[in-house]
Amino acid sequence: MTFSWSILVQYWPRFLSGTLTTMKYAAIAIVFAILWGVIIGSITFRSPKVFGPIFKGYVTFFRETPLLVQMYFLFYGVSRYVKVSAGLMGVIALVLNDGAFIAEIIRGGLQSIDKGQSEAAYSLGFSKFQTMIYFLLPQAWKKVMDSVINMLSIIIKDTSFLMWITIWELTYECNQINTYSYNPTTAYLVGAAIYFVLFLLVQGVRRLVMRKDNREGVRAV
Amino acid sequence: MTMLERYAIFVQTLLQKGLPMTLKLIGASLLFALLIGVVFGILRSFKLPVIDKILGLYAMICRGIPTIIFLLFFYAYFTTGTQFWIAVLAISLVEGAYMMEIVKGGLLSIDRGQWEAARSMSLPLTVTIVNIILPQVLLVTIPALMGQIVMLVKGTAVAATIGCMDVVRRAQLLLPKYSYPLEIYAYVLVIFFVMCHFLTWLGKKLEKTVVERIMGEVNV
Repeated sequence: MTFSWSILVQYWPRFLSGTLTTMKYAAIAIVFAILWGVIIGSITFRSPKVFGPIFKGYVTFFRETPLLVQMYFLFYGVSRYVKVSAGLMGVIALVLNDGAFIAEIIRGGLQSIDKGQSEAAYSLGFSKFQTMIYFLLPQAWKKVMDSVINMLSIIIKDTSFLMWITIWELTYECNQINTYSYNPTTAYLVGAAIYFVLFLLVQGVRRLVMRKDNREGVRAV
Repeated sequence: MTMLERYAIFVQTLLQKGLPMTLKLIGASLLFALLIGVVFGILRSFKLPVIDKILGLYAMICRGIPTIIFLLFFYAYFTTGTQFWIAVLAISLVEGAYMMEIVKGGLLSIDRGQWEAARSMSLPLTVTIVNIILPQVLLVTIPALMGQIVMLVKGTAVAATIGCMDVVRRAQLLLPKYSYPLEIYAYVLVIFFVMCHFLTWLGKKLEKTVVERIMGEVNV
């Protein structure tokens, strides 16, 4: 089966709406996953008595189970007892999964910072929370920014799982278009191209941020 | 739910019927992904002009496009072939690209001086590769590679969406009969967690062994 422009033109509105849905969910998931990851990463770094092991267990469990099954678990299992919409459940699944990955990245970044930094902050009278916000996280963020931006493209990829919990995002639309037009090449090639453009956008942002970072580094020196 | 039902769900269906299929999926995908990764990774480390660009594009495509798109495309495009092999094709293609990057990175991380030093001591090529280059490559690649293998194990769950009869699909098919989605999917999560956690543990152990062998006990 060959690529057909007429099918692309005919179904363009569906591709477009799918792309917009994917971008919407990706944007929401990215914002909350980073927030969640930073919070959980700082907690597991400090490792308090009760919450430390709990959140460490959470991070390990969510990093080592498939996102698809987590989504099924939340959407078919938990939704039965807690009434939430499919979209919210999908975002929760994405945030819990990718947030765990980001938390691990942030924790790694925090651990790589010299202990003297926090000791210096304590000796100046800053509280633990203030030290984390003003001293440790900004330094760790600079170190791990590359990995975190890399996670963003993974989150965009992960939104494709939302199709299995009844959300009409890009992969779902591609699947539907294939069903209507019997032309898998066009349907999936266009979908793949759109995902690839989103990926390139994230890579562009990464390059931009890294360059700005480098400039700041030069100025500081 | 009675204990008997739980036994029927967890042991008889998920473990006895679903798990062999999942393990077969993991084995086959891992084999092909490692094959792709090692062969193309070594090829990329030579930095051949055109081939390197093509393989770089392949890596970027696989990093940017979800596995599900590949899976559904192959499933719709190939009229022959079982779901199993279509899933293996899609998963190994995507994971192979990641492994290729890891192997390439490991090979390129070795300084050229290592090769030159070995040559200046007139060591034969096999000794150079086995005793000098390979241990250093392993030191860099094993942690990343084990992480990627865990990703592959998790990635095999998508095979269920095209009807491959693995653990996830078996669990889905159980739902009309036993209406306990929370518990059934929790079992699936536990099965995957045990597999992946074992692999993570194995990776840490392997890493420690390699470091011990290469750097000596002191540096562990």
